[in-house]
Amino acid sequence: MAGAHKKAAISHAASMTSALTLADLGTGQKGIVVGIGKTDDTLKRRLTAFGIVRGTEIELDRTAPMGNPRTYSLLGYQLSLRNEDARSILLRFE
Amino acid sequence: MTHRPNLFTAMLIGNPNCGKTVLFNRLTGDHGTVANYARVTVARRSCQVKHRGAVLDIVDLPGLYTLNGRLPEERAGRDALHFEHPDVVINVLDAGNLHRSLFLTIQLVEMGRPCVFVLNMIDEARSHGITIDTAALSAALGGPVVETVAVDGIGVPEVGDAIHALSERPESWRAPLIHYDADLEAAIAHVQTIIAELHPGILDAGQSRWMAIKLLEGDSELLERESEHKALIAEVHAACQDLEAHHGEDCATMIAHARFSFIESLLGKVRTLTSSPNRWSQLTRQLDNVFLHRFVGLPILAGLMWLMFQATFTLGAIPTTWIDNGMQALTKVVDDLIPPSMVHDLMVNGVMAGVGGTIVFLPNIVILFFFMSVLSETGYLARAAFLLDRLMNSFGLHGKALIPLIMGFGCNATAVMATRTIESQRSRLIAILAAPYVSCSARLPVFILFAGAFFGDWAGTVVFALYATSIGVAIGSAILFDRMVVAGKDEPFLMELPPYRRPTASSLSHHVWDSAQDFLRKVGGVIIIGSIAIWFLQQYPTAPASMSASDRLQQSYLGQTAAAVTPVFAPLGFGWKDSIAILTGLLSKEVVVSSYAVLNAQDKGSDGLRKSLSAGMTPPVAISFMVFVLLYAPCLSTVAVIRREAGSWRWAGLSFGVSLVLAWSLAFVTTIVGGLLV
Repeated sequence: MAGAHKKAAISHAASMTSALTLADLGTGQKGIVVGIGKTDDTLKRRLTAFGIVRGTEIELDRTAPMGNPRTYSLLGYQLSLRNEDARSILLRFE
Repeated sequence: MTHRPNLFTAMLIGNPNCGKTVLFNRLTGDHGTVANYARVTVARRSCQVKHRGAVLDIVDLPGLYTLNGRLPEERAGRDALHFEHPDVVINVLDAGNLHRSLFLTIQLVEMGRPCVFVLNMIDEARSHGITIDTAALSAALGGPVVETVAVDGIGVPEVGDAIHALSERPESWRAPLIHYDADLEAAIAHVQTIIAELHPGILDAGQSRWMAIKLLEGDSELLERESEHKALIAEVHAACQDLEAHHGEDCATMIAHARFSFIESLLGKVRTLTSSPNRWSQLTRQLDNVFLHRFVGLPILAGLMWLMFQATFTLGAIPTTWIDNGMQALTKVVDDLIPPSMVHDLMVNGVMAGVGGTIVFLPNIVILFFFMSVLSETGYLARAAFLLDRLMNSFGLHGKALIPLIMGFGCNATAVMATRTIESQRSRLIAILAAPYVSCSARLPVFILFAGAFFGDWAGTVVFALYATSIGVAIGSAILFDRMVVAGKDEPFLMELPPYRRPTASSLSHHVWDSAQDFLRKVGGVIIIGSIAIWFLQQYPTAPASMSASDRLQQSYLGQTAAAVTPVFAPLGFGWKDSIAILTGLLSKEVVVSSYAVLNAQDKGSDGLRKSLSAGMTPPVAISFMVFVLLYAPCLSTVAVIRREAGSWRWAGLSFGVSLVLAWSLAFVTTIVGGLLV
């Protein structure tokens, strides 16, 4: 994963304070969903219905002009999410 | 379910944007609204069709991603399936997006209703190197699988056949069993036993299993319904806590994970990919590199909007002259045909002038709707929501409010209805109150008439600027209402970005035809009535023939009304004709133009109307007038829809009152500032 190494500095900084989340991915970088952290139940259900469950591979595609929201590729489709919601999705690298 | 022996109910269900509405239209011959973004069906529709001697009642339900959701339309969909017992469920799946689509499918098959599975947009999937073994999929899911390209009608008769066959032989349906983790299965079996004891003889094994799973998933409504069975609820809670302690995951997550694992292994058997699934939409990626670019994305959005209004104005001008000439010729015929009388004057100076003055804007409206449907069907509107969410969010608007607001460019009443897709009541109310400021197509004739009369070559740009103002005011009002309305929690923004799709000629022409029909219906209804009313009010009470034309007008009912309201508008620089036009525009904003046409009936044709307008006003006042018409009072039907959707007259009244104050203040500022500049 060459992309992962390039962005290692960013994700390292994030992992120093807390676990890696979807909001920490760099463009083109991929991660595997570990789970959904503490968040309200409604959001959790919505994320689950969009296929965000343990083991799903997810990649950051692009960021909107004002830095938020971002679009991600998963399960062969594109989903856009706000960063504050992406922060509740826990990831690990392949 | 008791019904006629050969009447069968089939409900269409699937993810948003999977082509359900297209399939519904194809199956029923009806025409709903189709777009390439999530959630077009805000209310359900149904239609009965004859199929090989049977009658199929086809119901189109709103698109949803899960049966566990808490969106109003998700509940509506689930309740329809659960309580109305359709004979067949038609599960529409986006063939290119099976992995996520099948999540809903699993929930449907667990419910136990017989299902027909429709793999729609199969052509798109094939072109991206996806092949699906339908026989194997059918065997795994227990029901018929039909491949379709609904937009072209391919496979649609087969869907009808499958619905019919399954309705007549529901026993041929074999619901597959989704296996969960051993601990979870033990919990399901345990809860299932309790349910079976509580509802003896009512539920079969499949239904009690489904209920057990739903309870363990924490379905709040089902939990509520069963709340009198305290022992059951206590057992469910205990089982959930037990599982969570053992697995480090809550029950709902475990169940969802198991379902996705089932889907993954199923897809492994039935789907062949010749390329990596994340790479298949190269074209979409390349287009997004431009349209969603960090720096050029927003300028392109602004440019496309400008182009749309410019084209609406300039392209529309060509057929407008034809219609104008046609109307003048027709007026001439009527003029010659009817002998001089009251009927003659009513027809020529009332009806013909009013209709002729308004109908010339048909091309502009058709062109605007054409561009809007191109934007929505290609998938660009979803991109616009993505580009602007951050900005909208800072104004208290939800990114999802963008689509209803853009629909507002067509019609505000539709926009208010479309806010149903916003989950949180608070965000929705803000969107409802902001929607009337979006300039609907009914204001377009006013802008085109005035911009054309006063600004010549700059007319297109002036119209664009008015649209920009309308967006600015919509945003400003959202900020205002955001502060005023009780504080609440923001809704998360989760939106699927569909691949770009080529709009189809059939649905584009349907959109355009619909908008034309709607406009012509208005011309035939409210415009004729308004024109006749204005004509009568300016003719009566009858004055002696010796009186000059302007004196006669002043003592007419219309003149008297004008005298009463003109002082209110005088500071804005509006004359009495303008005041009258504004009053009549409360009915519907196109009436503003037809009123002018009747008031200036002696000046024939739209050129004459333009000349008499530019004689009576200065350009700054013309801008001020357009600003006033843009902002003041939503039309009657929008007020009624606001009342219905927001739930009380209080909100409709608030919207009405605030808009009047806003319109007057901004128009006043425009007149003053404009006066200083010129």
